[in-house]
Amino acid sequence: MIDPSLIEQVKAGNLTAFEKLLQSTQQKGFNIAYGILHDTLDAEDVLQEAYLQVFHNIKKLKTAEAFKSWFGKIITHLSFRRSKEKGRFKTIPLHEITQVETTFSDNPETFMVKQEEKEQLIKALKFLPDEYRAALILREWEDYSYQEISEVLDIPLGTVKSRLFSARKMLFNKLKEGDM
Amino acid sequence: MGQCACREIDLSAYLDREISPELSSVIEEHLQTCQKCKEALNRMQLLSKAVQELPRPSVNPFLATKVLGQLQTEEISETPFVRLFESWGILSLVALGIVLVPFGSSLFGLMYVLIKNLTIVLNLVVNLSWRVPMSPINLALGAIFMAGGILAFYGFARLYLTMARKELVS
Ligand SMILES: [Zn+2]
Repeated sequence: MIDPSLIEQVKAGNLTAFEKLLQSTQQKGFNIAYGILHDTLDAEDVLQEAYLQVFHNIKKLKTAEAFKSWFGKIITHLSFRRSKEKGRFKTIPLHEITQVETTFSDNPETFMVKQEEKEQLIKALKFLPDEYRAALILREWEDYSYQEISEVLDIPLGTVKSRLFSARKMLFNKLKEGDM
Repeated sequence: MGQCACREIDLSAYLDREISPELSSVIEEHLQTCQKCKEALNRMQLLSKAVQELPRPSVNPFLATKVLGQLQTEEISETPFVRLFESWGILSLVALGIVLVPFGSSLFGLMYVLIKNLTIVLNLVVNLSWRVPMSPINLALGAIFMAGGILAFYGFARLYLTMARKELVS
């Protein structure tokens, strides 16, 4: 967690404290943006804008514990916006997701994730709708709790649970289909 | 035992350790006897691990320098002079509103006629501009109009940027 006194210093406009905050959170932030956008330059732009917003709006942050969700939200929103600007933002209606009939007990022999299949996995991740990929990345890469993900994405807890499950199901399905 | 008591969605939450202790122990008990669920959980675990192990590039080491540089440029431009431009943007909006509300329809009518007879109007303007003498007063008037236009444009841009920055954060 971020040191509360560091947050207070940043709130007071202390640039050295802000730099410290940036240094200690930048890789986490970058992972989220990169996970959603899968483009290094786009992720860097998003991060730069995100930190300007952090600096200008940190007074609105109530507690230091809230920083993780708040920061995640800024990065995620900016990443979605970037994705939309690039015309890559993907969303699919809920009924289509629930129609994915695959279960994790299907065809065990065709499912494996080996070292050489990382490329396949990355492709499968790109196939996910942005909001599903975001939830999965927050969970798997940055260890966000369901509560934190619900705050970042503005969705109820139950939706976080089903969104993560659907994301995993879609990934599994895509990997099983192969040839992408 | 044919029937499976586990729902895969719960297995997914179980994997994330985001499930009540009660449901957790129900699932664990069930896993002892249900091969199907055990395999499903195992596969979810593999998938989750594979995603976690994907490589992530390192962040640009100059990010801090870039962001701090940008903040400093902002600070320089946050002078009272710039604030004046921002308010100039708002003032232009207000002025536009004042002109548009009472005279909007006649202005649109005028514009409609102007556009409809564009060639005639253009001819007229060109002809007139030849006749207007190159006096210092006319030149000054032209300069004032141009400066006003540029200032208003700059004001709008600043206003927009400021609003865009404040927009996203709740
Ligand atoms: Zn079962």
